[in-house]
Amino acid sequence: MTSSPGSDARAGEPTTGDGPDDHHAEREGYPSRPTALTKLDEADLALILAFQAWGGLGARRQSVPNGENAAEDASTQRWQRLEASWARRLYNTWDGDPTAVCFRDPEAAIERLRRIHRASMRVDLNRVHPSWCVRALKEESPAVQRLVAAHAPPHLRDTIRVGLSLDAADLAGERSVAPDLLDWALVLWTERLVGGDPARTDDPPAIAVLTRLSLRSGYAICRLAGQIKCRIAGQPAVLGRQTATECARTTWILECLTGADPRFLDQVSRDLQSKALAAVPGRYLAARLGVQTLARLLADCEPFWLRWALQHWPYPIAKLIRTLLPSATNRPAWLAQGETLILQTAWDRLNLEGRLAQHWPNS
Amino acid sequence: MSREPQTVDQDPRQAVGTGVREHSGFDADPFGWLPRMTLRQVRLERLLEGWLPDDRLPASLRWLDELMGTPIELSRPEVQWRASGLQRPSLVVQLTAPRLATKLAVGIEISLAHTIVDHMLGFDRAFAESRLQLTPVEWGIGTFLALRVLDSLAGFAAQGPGGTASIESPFDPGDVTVDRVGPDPFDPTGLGAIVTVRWSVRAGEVTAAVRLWLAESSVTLWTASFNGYPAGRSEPWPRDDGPGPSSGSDRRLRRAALSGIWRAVAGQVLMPRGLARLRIGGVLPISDSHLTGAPASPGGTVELVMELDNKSGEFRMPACPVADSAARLLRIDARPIYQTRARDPIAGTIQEGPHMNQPSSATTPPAAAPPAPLDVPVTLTVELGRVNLTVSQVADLKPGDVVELARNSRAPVELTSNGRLVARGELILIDTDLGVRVTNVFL
Repeated sequence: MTSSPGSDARAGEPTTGDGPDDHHAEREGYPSRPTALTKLDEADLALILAFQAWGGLGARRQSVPNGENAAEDASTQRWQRLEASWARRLYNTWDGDPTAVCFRDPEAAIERLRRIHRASMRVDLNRVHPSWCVRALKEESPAVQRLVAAHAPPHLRDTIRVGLSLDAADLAGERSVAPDLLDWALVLWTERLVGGDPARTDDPPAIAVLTRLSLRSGYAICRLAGQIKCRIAGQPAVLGRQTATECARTTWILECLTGADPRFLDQVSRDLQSKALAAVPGRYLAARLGVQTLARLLADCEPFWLRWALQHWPYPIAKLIRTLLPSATNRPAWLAQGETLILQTAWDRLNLEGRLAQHWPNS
Repeated sequence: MSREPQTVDQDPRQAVGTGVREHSGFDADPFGWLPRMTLRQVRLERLLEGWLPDDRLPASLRWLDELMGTPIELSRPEVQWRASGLQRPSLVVQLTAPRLATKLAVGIEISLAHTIVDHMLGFDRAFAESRLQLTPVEWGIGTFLALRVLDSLAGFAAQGPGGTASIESPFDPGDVTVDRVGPDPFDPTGLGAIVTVRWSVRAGEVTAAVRLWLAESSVTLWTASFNGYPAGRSEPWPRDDGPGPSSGSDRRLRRAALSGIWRAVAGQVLMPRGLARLRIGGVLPISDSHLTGAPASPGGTVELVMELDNKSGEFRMPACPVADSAARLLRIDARPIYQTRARDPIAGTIQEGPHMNQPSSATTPPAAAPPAPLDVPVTLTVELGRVNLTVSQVADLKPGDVVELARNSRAPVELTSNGRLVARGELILIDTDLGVRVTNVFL
């Protein structure tokens, strides 16, 4: 995973990794990686874990107390077999952070790999919004569509049937299928979806909004984040009638935002004047602004993880978020910090009002 | 080529690079439908077999057996003188050999990649799940294995398979770097003709293919340094390119690897109103074309053209598509001839109008505005495909030889200008002549 404001805010926290309480952490959820490795994507993390598990890389870490240069040279040489920028990224990330030693137990590294592998190879349909299943089946042949619609998990059947315009006669008329073929079909239709590990506790806040909250809570956070932006930009007309409760909320929010970067406040004003938002009906404007906040924060997340997280929300909304993801050249640090502040303020306010049970992920 | 042993190369229609011959009837060819191999294919296969003598991994890679907990068995290598299996779903390890300024790649078919990782992690996978897409964990473990294999091979290459002598190889694994590992297919653009080495690998209950893709020029270097027999034994046949590096002549070896891209030109497409009229779905007639027959397998005549770097001239070689080869195979009609270029027939040519080069005056109407770049008349070249031939191969070419283009039977034709890709299309029949329907435009 790449660096995100959320992960930066946790930089001072101790990382548990494979410490003594790790078994407990595994049952209740666990941080998937030490702080240093949040800058790596899933494949690079697996590479480092593989070296820890089966030899090679761990030599340097274990030899640091003795300062054995030979082992350090071996580690450097190994990275030199990688393409230059890739090697530099791994070397700086792994060899430059003392917290990375938490993976030095080979058995724990294998167990970690096994767990990530198990979670990512199979998609958990209970964590995928049904609209994604319909989307995945659109490309399949009618025979496979009917087969899956007839044998899908019960909570998906109706959605798939309606989404693919299949009627009862379509499903009833399906011929009996050889068990092997049925297994293949029921496995392979999900190959456009990705699996992920829901037990992680160190998700960036934007990922947590997608994966840990209900759709209703997610919508509430987006809408409130958008309302906060409207207040910043001085457009209270969007917010409707100002009651006493609303005024108290405004005061509380503005206090939270006192440390915001002026460049970010200017950006919010520019966002509200943009052509893209001009076409959005007023009652959807706040939520749309909140989705933009989410998109700007998700752009810093690891791509595979992001793909998995987006599957929790309806496909059209996920597609909108995809279109709003900023390019790599357009992501100044103050923008991410400002958006994080907005999201955290919205989250904390909803929590304070009792509308959201979970606390801010990094608190 | 022509100096290869007569037992292998007695048929003048032998394919260059592919080992494919046109079947000309049982009477003329007593070997009938048997596949043929060129000498360099045999050399490469023997070289690779020497490294894997007993269908097992070499000793320096046996750690892989231990890591997986099951032995890995390999079939004998199968050499195909073309890019094969590039699009098959695989875990692809893409490598760079900076000393040779080339790239190469290894593709492990997806079911085998799953098996390797699952064995390493002690993970049970249902049979129906063996074709699921690769996960990032598998990319990472694949990278780990690639680095360790390179480590092992670096020592192995220095020692040689028998542990007694060094094998000269242009690929020093110590010099090879890993560019990326993942499901993205290997893109051989710019590498010239590609050679595929395919092993059938058995690990546990799974048998799948592992492919190695190399540039032909690299293979030429490699096989030229190998006499076909293990070190210390005499050569079984005369070398086709004189004394090799083992006798101290690096110049010969380098010359064997010099190569050029030959383009199979089917004709030209005139665009008098410029590229702005180039549209997807547009149908363009081919002028100056001698192609005939059906679009799926055209006949007639094409020209193999190789331009010199300084644009001063080009080599041209008439050829005709082999029947039923979908224009993948071309039979050479005559030896290459050199032509100087008075003007570039392929590049865009601005048609000079009457208003050009005339002094303007008050009595003449004002000159028209210069045309927009996309309105300039151009002539596009229709290319059936390309082939990378080394200098030594070209020197040995003779009428009747068959050349294989680096394209598959369903590959589109390309419309180029000055050798640069402008559009792709498919051959179609316009009345009785062949034309091109544009399928992609790259402007």
